[in-house]
Amino acid sequence: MANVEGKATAITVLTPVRRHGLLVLAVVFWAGRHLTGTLKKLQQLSFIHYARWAVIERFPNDGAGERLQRSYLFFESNFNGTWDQYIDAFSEVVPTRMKAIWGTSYGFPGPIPVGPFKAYIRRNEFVANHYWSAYPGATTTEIIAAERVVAALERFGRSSARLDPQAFKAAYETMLESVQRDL
Amino acid sequence: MKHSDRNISGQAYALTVLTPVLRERVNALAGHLDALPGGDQSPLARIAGTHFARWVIIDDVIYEGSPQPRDTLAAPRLLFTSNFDGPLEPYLEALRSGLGEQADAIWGHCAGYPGRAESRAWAGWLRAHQIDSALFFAAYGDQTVDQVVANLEQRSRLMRFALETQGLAPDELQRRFAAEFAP
Amino acid sequence: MTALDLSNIQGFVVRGYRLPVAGYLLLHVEDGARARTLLGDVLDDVLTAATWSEKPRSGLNLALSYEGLRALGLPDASLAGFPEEFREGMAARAALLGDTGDSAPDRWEAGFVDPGVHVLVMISAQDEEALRAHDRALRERIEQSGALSLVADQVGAALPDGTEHFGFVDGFAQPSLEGSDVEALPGQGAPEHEDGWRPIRAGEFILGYPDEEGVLPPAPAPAPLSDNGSYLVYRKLHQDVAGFRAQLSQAAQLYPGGEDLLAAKIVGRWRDGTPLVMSPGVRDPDLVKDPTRNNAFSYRDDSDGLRCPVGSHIRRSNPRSSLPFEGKLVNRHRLMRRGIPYGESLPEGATEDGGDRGVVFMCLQASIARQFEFVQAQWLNDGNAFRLGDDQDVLLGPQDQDGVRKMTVPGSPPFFLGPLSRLVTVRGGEYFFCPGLNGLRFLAALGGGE
Repeated sequence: MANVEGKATAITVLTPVRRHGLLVLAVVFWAGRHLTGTLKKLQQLSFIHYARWAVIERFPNDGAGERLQRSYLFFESNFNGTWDQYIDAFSEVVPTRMKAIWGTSYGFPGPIPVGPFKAYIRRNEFVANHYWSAYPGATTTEIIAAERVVAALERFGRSSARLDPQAFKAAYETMLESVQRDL
Repeated sequence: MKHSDRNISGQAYALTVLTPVLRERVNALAGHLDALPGGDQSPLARIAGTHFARWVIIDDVIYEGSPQPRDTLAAPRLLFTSNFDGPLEPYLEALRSGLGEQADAIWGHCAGYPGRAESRAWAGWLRAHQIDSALFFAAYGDQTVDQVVANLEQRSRLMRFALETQGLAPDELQRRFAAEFAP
Repeated sequence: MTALDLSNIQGFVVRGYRLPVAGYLLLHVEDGARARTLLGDVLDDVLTAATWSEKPRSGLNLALSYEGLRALGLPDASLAGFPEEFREGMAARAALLGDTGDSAPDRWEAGFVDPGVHVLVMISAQDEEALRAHDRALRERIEQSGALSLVADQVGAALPDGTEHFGFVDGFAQPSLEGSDVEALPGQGAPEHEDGWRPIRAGEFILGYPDEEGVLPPAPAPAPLSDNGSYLVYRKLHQDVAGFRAQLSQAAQLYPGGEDLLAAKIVGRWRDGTPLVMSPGVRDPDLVKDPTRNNAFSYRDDSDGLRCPVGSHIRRSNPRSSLPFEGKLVNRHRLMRRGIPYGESLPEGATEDGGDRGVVFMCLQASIARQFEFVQAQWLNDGNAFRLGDDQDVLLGPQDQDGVRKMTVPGSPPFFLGPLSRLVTVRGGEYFFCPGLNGLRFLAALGGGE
């Protein structure tokens, strides 16, 4: 059992959707796909590598799938930092979206205060039996920073090839300065 | 947007597979997954392009109490999710060949598992048990695993270089830079 | 807004006494019943937060660890209501706190782990004589009672110039508390709107009052035990002063701004306390002297840390408006800091003498996990929250990460300080509960029916 791999933490949640919740979810997820607000906030929170939502109307089996009395909402996230920090941020920063999404599930107490919210997630989460990360030592912000650093380094490599030492040093320092928040 | 496109963000693909576990095999499967070695020794380390992946056993759905109707799964499910460098078809094949015997040792506990001998049957079975995402978030969906790892490496190299060469004369700096970052 | 029940809150929870000497007795309960009797006997000596008519010559405060509460006979139903980190105690949290290597609990001073500390007695005094007198009287009382044994003791004393051992004037920033009678100063509460500040809700520090979410913080039952109480973190931190000076002067040879500025960049304030973000070029004694200004800054206009580095000690410890979402990621991670240096200062230019010097670090909060542990693990021992990758705090970080152990001093060009090594070592510590006077009375009365 392992929800943690290096700096990465896995969360896997499955909650029962209320009778009329599917319609709400369809709207919320449509907005999520077409309006940039939600994804932008997630980007700004900057500790989520990958996350996904899915609605399970039928649990797949050999045949047409197993239909329960209600549909189920699936959520998974791969993030860096602690579990508490993650739920705290959801509660503090995107409470209306949390309410729009999980508010369609039975038993959801609301995103604020965070205590009952955490208890709800704890009750409805499943611990991974095996969890893998290709880069367990890296955080989302480091990965995004590294992309910018490499771009700057490549630009510098191309433009500095023929500079004399004085000009090279000046250009090198300018390059470092341009990426100093990413180092 | 087609439903299947909702699994895609940039070049990243979100795969969600739920397969029914033979009830008498649940403990054996859990034991097997829990005992898999982690990190570099994980069988998933052999599947190129996998950013994050997990296996999770879902014994049954959670009951939050009234007014939720009491639901029970006819069979426990094995959840497999992966966030990988798309597209899907070559990845399923990479899973089949890369996991090898491990694939059978895991999904062999599931009802209707066709084995891995036949590439098409294998991929068809996983796809038949796939759940489409409603919303998929990828913080750096444009980057492959190889790019992420290489960028992180390069960022560390520049940090180390910058620290070690502080105060060097321009010609020495230029020489060291060429030696460290030669194309 | 709820007014604080000041006569039932232990005094140092609400305000720093600014008494220059302190003594700490770390005790183990040998006989629960006798310990309760002794507790009842000393209750009247405990300093509360009620306003003083005259500053006392010395005063007493008390706190108990989880094992201490158990040893006093607190029933399981109440014990189970305490949060996990408190029940486990500081030593068990070593990996999370970065208390590894030389800071690991198996290297701590005798007594902290075995037999363990049950009761922390704190005596604050105006001078050494007053401290000695109070300390002697208390020790005699403890000895006669047969209730407690001494496992360790510690004295602390403010250094002559009001600095800590690395040479920086300390203690400017404290959260101002809603409902207390201590005057709120600019910069001490939660950032609000443009450059405004409001006091932090009392429930972030004291149980039984609404917190930043507007609800009562989780607390063990019954209310008379927990109301007006606070969790206290106690850590004896050894400072490697010669090591700090050597790292600094060596790095300063390459730093164009010189040693004094580099020192300020590490801390975020000049040695005299002038905030770098307000006065990046020079010390400003007038600014330091003015309590309405010396903490009135937010980093809002220094997002890249060109004046005060993003990785500087005070900016990590309290990022104010540095993080996105208008302080929402900051306000629930504040610490009420209390503490005092111990040991003689190391004269300027002296080589390392192996001296026992550092700081008795203490902080108060309503949740050790969300406040102290979060700040220690996420903000000081890691840099990710601030887009600083693996970087750790220069002063407190264990510098045990795999990557490049450095601090970035933003500038044109940036300066890189490193490779860094550990400067501060944990010598011992524990998590305590600091009950209100009502809580102490509750504990003293336990087993009344026996």
